[in-house]
Amino acid sequence: MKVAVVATRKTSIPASLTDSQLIALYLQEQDARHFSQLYRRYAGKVFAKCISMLADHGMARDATQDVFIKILLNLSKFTEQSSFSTWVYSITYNYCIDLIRKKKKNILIFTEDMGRVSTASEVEIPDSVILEMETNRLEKVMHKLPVGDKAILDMKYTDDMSIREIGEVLNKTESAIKMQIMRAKIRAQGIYEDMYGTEPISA
Amino acid sequence: MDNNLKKLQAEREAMLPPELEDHISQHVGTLSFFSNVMEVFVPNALQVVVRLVGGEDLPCLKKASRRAARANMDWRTPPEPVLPDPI
Repeated sequence: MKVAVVATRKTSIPASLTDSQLIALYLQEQDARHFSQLYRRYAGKVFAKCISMLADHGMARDATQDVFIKILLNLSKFTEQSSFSTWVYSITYNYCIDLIRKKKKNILIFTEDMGRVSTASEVEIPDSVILEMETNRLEKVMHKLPVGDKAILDMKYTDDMSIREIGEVLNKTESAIKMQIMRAKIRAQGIYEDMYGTEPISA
Repeated sequence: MDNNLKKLQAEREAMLPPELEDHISQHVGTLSFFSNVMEVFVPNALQVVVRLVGGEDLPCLKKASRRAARANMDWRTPPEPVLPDPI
Protein backbone atom coordinates (compact mmCIF):
# COMPACT_ATOMS: atom_id res chain seq x y z
CA MET A 1 0.00 0.00 0.00
CA LYS A 2 2.79 2.31 1.01
CA VAL A 3 4.65 1.48 -2.23
CA ALA A 4 1.55 2.37 -4.26
CA VAL A 5 1.30 5.75 -2.57
CA VAL A 6 4.97 6.48 -3.24
CA ALA A 7 4.56 5.40 -6.87
CA THR A 8 1.60 7.77 -7.31
CA ARG A 9 3.57 10.62 -5.83
CA LYS A 10 6.53 10.08 -8.15
CA THR A 11 4.49 10.50 -11.38
CA SER A 12 5.67 13.46 -13.43
CA ILE A 13 3.63 16.63 -13.84
CA PRO A 14 2.16 16.91 -17.37
CA ALA A 15 3.68 19.84 -19.24
CA SER A 16 0.27 20.63 -20.72
CA LEU A 17 -1.06 21.98 -17.40
CA THR A 18 -1.81 25.69 -17.52
CA ASP A 19 -0.37 28.14 -15.00
CA SER A 20 -3.73 28.39 -13.23
CA GLN A 21 -4.01 24.60 -12.96
CA LEU A 22 -0.50 24.37 -11.53
CA ILE A 23 -1.26 27.08 -8.98
CA ALA A 24 -4.51 25.38 -7.94
CA LEU A 25 -2.73 22.03 -7.59
CA TYR A 26 0.11 23.54 -5.60
CA LEU A 27 -2.29 25.26 -3.22
CA GLN A 28 -4.30 22.05 -2.79
CA GLU A 29 -1.50 19.53 -2.42
CA GLN A 30 1.48 21.69 -1.38
CA ASP A 31 3.57 19.55 -3.74
CA ALA A 32 6.82 21.37 -4.54
CA ARG A 33 6.93 19.84 -8.04
CA HIS A 34 4.02 22.02 -9.14
CA PHE A 35 5.88 25.12 -8.06
CA SER A 36 9.06 23.83 -9.74
CA GLN A 37 7.13 23.61 -12.99
CA LEU A 38 6.10 27.26 -12.65
CA TYR A 39 9.70 28.13 -11.80
CA ARG A 40 10.98 26.42 -14.96
CA ARG A 41 8.49 28.36 -17.07
CA TYR A 42 9.35 31.81 -15.73
CA ALA A 43 12.81 31.71 -14.09
CA GLY A 44 14.70 32.57 -17.28
CA LYS A 45 12.44 35.50 -18.09
CA VAL A 46 12.54 36.82 -14.52
CA PHE A 47 16.33 36.51 -14.44
CA ALA A 48 16.70 38.26 -17.80
CA LYS A 49 14.46 41.08 -16.59
CA CYS A 50 16.46 41.43 -13.37
CA ILE A 51 19.75 41.61 -15.31
CA SER A 52 18.26 44.17 -17.66
CA MET A 53 17.03 46.38 -14.81
CA LEU A 54 19.79 45.87 -12.24
CA ALA A 55 22.72 45.49 -14.68
CA ASP A 56 24.51 43.16 -12.25
CA HIS A 57 24.67 39.37 -12.49
CA GLY A 58 24.98 38.69 -8.75
CA MET A 59 22.20 41.09 -7.81
CA ALA A 60 20.01 39.63 -10.55
CA ARG A 61 20.52 36.10 -9.17
CA ASP A 62 19.58 37.17 -5.64
CA ALA A 63 16.65 39.20 -6.95
CA THR A 64 15.35 36.20 -8.96
CA GLN A 65 15.46 34.07 -5.83
CA ASP A 66 13.65 36.73 -3.78
CA VAL A 67 11.05 37.27 -6.50
CA PHE A 68 10.21 33.53 -6.54
CA ILE A 69 9.97 33.40 -2.75
CA LYS A 70 7.62 36.38 -2.96
CA ILE A 71 5.57 34.60 -5.62
CA LEU A 72 5.42 31.48 -3.45
CA LEU A 73 4.28 33.38 -0.37
CA ASN A 74 1.64 35.33 -2.30
CA LEU A 75 0.40 32.56 -4.57
CA SER A 76 -2.89 32.30 -2.70
CA LYS A 77 -3.49 36.03 -3.34
CA PHE A 78 -3.26 35.62 -7.13
CA THR A 79 -6.80 36.34 -8.30
CA GLU A 80 -6.52 35.68 -12.04
CA GLN A 81 -7.68 39.22 -12.83
CA SER A 82 -4.60 39.34 -15.05
CA SER A 83 -2.55 36.52 -16.53
CA PHE A 84 0.02 34.82 -14.28
CA SER A 85 2.86 36.12 -16.46
CA THR A 86 1.66 39.73 -16.03
CA TRP A 87 1.49 39.15 -12.26
CA VAL A 88 5.02 37.70 -12.23
CA TYR A 89 6.39 40.63 -14.28
CA SER A 90 4.67 43.08 -12.01
CA ILE A 91 6.28 41.52 -8.91
CA THR A 92 9.67 41.46 -10.67
CA TYR A 93 9.39 45.06 -11.85
CA ASN A 94 8.32 46.39 -8.44
CA TYR A 95 10.97 44.37 -6.63
CA CYS A 96 13.76 45.66 -8.89
CA ILE A 97 12.54 49.26 -8.66
CA ASP A 98 12.49 49.00 -4.83
CA LEU A 99 16.00 47.56 -4.88
CA ILE A 100 17.29 50.38 -7.13
CA ARG A 101 15.54 53.00 -4.98
CA LYS A 102 17.21 51.58 -1.86
CA LYS A 103 20.59 51.79 -3.60
CA LYS A 104 20.19 55.25 -5.08
CA LYS A 105 17.80 57.60 -3.36
CA ASN A 106 17.10 60.06 -6.19
CA ILE A 107 16.74 57.65 -9.05
CA LEU A 108 14.91 58.71 -12.20
CA ILE A 109 12.61 55.95 -13.34
CA PHE A 110 11.26 57.38 -16.60
CA THR A 111 12.54 59.87 -19.18
CA GLU A 112 9.68 62.23 -18.33
CA ASP A 113 11.01 62.40 -14.75
CA MET A 114 14.09 64.16 -16.16
CA GLY A 115 11.90 67.15 -16.92
CA ARG A 116 13.38 68.03 -20.30
CA VAL A 117 11.11 66.29 -22.73
CA SER A 118 10.08 68.62 -25.53
CA THR A 119 6.65 67.93 -26.95
CA ALA A 120 7.74 69.31 -30.31
CA SER A 121 10.08 66.37 -30.90
CA GLU A 122 7.42 63.81 -30.02
CA VAL A 123 6.82 62.49 -33.48
CA GLU A 124 5.99 58.84 -34.13
CA ILE A 125 9.28 57.00 -34.62
CA PRO A 126 9.40 53.51 -36.12
CA ASP A 127 9.94 50.41 -33.96
CA SER A 128 12.90 49.51 -36.17
CA VAL A 129 14.90 52.19 -34.33
CA ILE A 130 15.05 49.75 -31.41
CA LEU A 131 14.38 46.38 -32.96
CA GLU A 132 16.99 46.47 -35.73
CA MET A 133 19.78 47.97 -33.66
CA GLU A 134 22.85 45.69 -33.59
CA THR A 135 22.68 43.62 -30.33
CA ASN A 136 25.91 44.89 -28.72
CA ARG A 137 24.97 48.49 -29.41
CA LEU A 138 21.40 47.85 -28.32
CA GLU A 139 22.67 46.46 -25.00
CA LYS A 140 24.78 49.59 -24.43
CA VAL A 141 21.93 51.91 -25.38
CA MET A 142 19.49 50.02 -23.12
CA HIS A 143 22.03 50.22 -20.29
CA LYS A 144 21.98 54.02 -20.54
CA LEU A 145 18.19 54.30 -20.54
CA PRO A 146 16.31 55.08 -17.32
CA VAL A 147 15.19 51.84 -15.69
CA GLY A 148 11.48 52.46 -16.30
CA ASP A 149 12.03 53.11 -20.00
CA LYS A 150 14.09 49.95 -20.23
CA ALA A 151 11.34 47.93 -18.52
CA ILE A 152 8.57 49.39 -20.66
CA LEU A 153 10.45 48.63 -23.92
CA ASP A 154 11.16 45.11 -22.65
CA MET A 155 7.50 44.50 -21.86
CA LYS A 156 6.38 45.84 -25.23
CA TYR A 157 8.96 44.33 -27.58
CA THR A 158 10.34 41.31 -25.72
CA ASP A 159 7.32 39.96 -23.86
CA ASP A 160 4.82 41.20 -26.48
CA MET A 161 2.59 42.52 -23.71
CA SER A 162 -0.41 44.63 -24.70
CA ILE A 163 -0.63 48.30 -23.70
CA ARG A 164 -3.40 47.32 -21.23
CA GLU A 165 -1.19 44.67 -19.58
CA ILE A 166 1.75 47.09 -19.31
CA GLY A 167 -0.65 49.58 -17.77
CA GLU A 168 -1.68 46.97 -15.17
CA VAL A 169 1.95 46.28 -14.26
CA LEU A 170 2.94 49.95 -14.00
CA ASN A 171 -0.43 51.08 -12.67
CA LYS A 172 -0.82 53.71 -15.39
CA THR A 173 -3.42 54.53 -18.02
CA GLU A 174 -3.12 53.23 -21.57
CA SER A 175 -2.49 56.72 -23.00
CA ALA A 176 0.27 57.31 -20.45
CA ILE A 177 1.88 54.02 -21.44
CA LYS A 178 1.72 54.89 -25.16
CA MET A 179 3.34 58.24 -24.40
CA GLN A 180 6.07 56.59 -22.33
CA ILE A 181 6.87 54.04 -25.02
CA MET A 182 7.22 56.84 -27.55
CA ARG A 183 9.46 58.86 -25.24
CA ALA A 184 11.57 55.80 -24.45
CA LYS A 185 12.10 55.23 -28.17
CA ILE A 186 13.04 58.88 -28.72
CA ARG A 187 15.46 58.72 -25.82
CA ALA A 188 17.00 55.46 -27.10
CA GLN A 189 17.48 57.05 -30.50
CA GLY A 190 19.09 60.10 -28.86
CA ILE A 191 21.48 57.92 -26.84
CA TYR A 192 22.39 55.99 -30.00
CA GLU A 193 23.16 59.20 -31.87
CA ASP A 194 25.28 60.48 -28.97
CA MET A 195 27.28 57.22 -28.93
CA TYR A 196 27.55 56.35 -32.60
CA GLY A 197 26.71 59.54 -34.45
CA THR A 198 24.88 59.02 -37.70
CA GLU A 199 26.06 55.43 -38.24
CA PRO A 200 23.23 53.24 -39.58
CA ILE A 201 21.21 51.48 -36.88
CA SER A 202 21.34 47.97 -38.31
CA ALA A 203 24.73 46.26 -38.60
CA MET B 1 8.40 38.02 -34.83
CA ASP B 2 11.97 37.75 -33.58
CA ASN B 3 13.77 41.00 -32.90
CA ASN B 4 17.09 42.04 -31.38
CA LEU B 5 15.56 42.75 -27.97
CA LYS B 6 14.27 39.16 -27.90
CA LYS B 7 17.73 37.91 -28.91
CA LEU B 8 19.22 39.90 -26.03
CA GLN B 9 16.65 38.41 -23.66
CA ALA B 10 17.40 34.87 -24.90
CA GLU B 11 21.12 35.42 -24.24
CA ARG B 12 20.33 36.56 -20.71
CA GLU B 13 17.90 33.69 -20.08
CA ALA B 14 20.71 31.27 -20.93
CA MET B 15 22.80 32.82 -18.15
CA LEU B 16 20.35 31.66 -15.46
CA PRO B 17 22.42 29.89 -12.77
CA PRO B 18 21.28 26.23 -12.61
CA GLU B 19 21.83 26.02 -8.83
CA LEU B 20 19.11 28.61 -8.30
CA GLU B 21 16.39 25.97 -8.74
CA ASP B 22 17.86 23.92 -5.87
CA HIS B 23 17.99 26.98 -3.61
CA ILE B 24 14.37 27.77 -4.33
CA SER B 25 13.31 24.11 -3.91
CA GLN B 26 14.94 24.16 -0.48
CA HIS B 27 12.97 27.27 0.43
CA VAL B 28 9.74 25.68 -0.84
CA GLY B 29 10.47 22.54 1.22
CA THR B 30 11.26 24.53 4.37
CA LEU B 31 8.17 26.69 3.99
CA SER B 32 5.82 23.75 3.45
CA PHE B 33 7.43 21.90 6.40
CA PHE B 34 6.85 24.86 8.72
CA SER B 35 3.32 25.42 7.44
CA ASN B 36 2.56 21.74 8.18
CA VAL B 37 4.12 22.06 11.63
CA MET B 38 2.02 25.14 12.30
CA GLU B 39 -1.12 23.44 11.10
CA VAL B 40 -0.60 20.31 13.21
CA PHE B 41 0.98 21.58 16.40
CA VAL B 42 -0.05 25.18 16.95
CA PRO B 43 -3.78 24.53 17.71
CA ASN B 44 -2.86 21.81 20.21
CA ALA B 45 -0.10 23.87 21.79
CA LEU B 46 -2.59 26.71 22.14
CA GLN B 47 -5.03 24.31 23.75
CA VAL B 48 -2.40 23.24 26.30
CA VAL B 49 -1.69 26.88 27.18
CA VAL B 50 -5.43 27.59 27.57
CA ARG B 51 -5.80 24.58 29.89
CA LEU B 52 -2.73 25.59 31.89
CA VAL B 53 -4.19 29.01 32.64
CA GLY B 54 -7.45 27.36 33.66
CA GLY B 55 -9.51 28.01 30.57
CA GLU B 56 -11.92 25.74 28.76
CA ASP B 57 -11.26 23.75 25.60
CA LEU B 58 -11.12 25.82 22.43
CA PRO B 59 -14.48 25.43 20.61
CA CYS B 60 -12.84 24.56 17.31
CA LEU B 61 -10.78 21.76 18.83
CA LYS B 62 -13.68 20.59 21.00
CA LYS B 63 -15.86 20.08 17.95
CA ALA B 64 -13.13 18.29 16.09
CA SER B 65 -12.35 15.92 18.95
CA ARG B 66 -16.04 15.12 19.54
CA ARG B 67 -16.47 14.45 15.85
CA ALA B 68 -13.38 12.24 15.87
CA ALA B 69 -14.59 10.32 18.92
CA ARG B 70 -17.98 9.75 17.33
CA ALA B 71 -16.35 8.56 14.13
CA ASN B 72 -14.24 6.00 15.99
CA MET B 73 -17.18 4.69 18.07
CA ASP B 74 -18.60 1.40 16.80
CA TRP B 75 -22.13 0.90 18.18
CA ARG B 76 -22.22 -2.70 17.04
CA THR B 77 -19.47 -3.78 19.46
CA PRO B 78 -20.64 -3.97 23.07
CA PRO B 79 -18.33 -2.41 25.65
CA GLU B 80 -16.01 -4.80 27.41
CA PRO B 81 -17.17 -5.77 30.91
CA VAL B 82 -15.20 -4.16 33.68
CA LEU B 83 -13.75 -7.00 35.73
CA PRO B 84 -13.20 -6.68 39.49
CA ASP B 85 -9.65 -6.16 40.66
CA PRO B 86 -7.94 -9.62 41.11
CA ILE B 87 -6.46 -8.49 44.44
